[in-house]
Amino acid sequence: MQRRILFIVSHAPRRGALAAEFLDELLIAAAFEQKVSVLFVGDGAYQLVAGDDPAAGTARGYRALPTYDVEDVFVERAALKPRGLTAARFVVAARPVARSRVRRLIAAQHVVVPD
Amino acid sequence: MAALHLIASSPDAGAALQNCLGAAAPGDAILLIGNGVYRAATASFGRIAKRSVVTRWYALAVDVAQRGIGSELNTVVAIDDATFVDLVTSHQPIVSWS
Repeated sequence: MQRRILFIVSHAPRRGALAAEFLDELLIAAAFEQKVSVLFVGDGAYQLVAGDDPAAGTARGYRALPTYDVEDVFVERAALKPRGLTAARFVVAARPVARSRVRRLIAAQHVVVPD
Repeated sequence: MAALHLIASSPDAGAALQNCLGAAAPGDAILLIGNGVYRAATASFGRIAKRSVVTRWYALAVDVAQRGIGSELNTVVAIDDATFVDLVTSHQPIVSWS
């Protein structure tokens, strides 16, 4: 049975193994053909930006989402401006969404996984 | 079906409540568990809860009692473990915020 699983990223990057393992969990779910969506909220939006070392952090991993057929990638719009972030800097195409869209997204899931 | 949001971290542990409130819908419920129950005893909690679209706030009674903050709770309904289970089976999805 294909299940709708939403992964919510709410922490800033550089959490060591935690951030990397969350990404692994997400990609494994996608590889097993679950209907995976990803939502970045609050400080989690920082994970969408790569630093000067492209091999470090999880931004590089999130770049692989389209390869795993994960197309539903969202970022809470309210998270962007206070953090000086713009979608143009993101490593993967994350759609800025309003809170109303976030609510509908969560309501549509079978499972929600926090980071 | 409405969502059940779980918050298990204390007020200074991060933005769990803020992120939760940004994503919760009017019919949803929020349950404070573990150190999350301390949030209901903070000075700003009443105002935060009142401003939120969520009207159903719960705290796990056993966690409240263990921390000795029962008399400082308002706005939230203290529930026992059986009610916790009822909430889990009557909501989907269950969303944990950390």
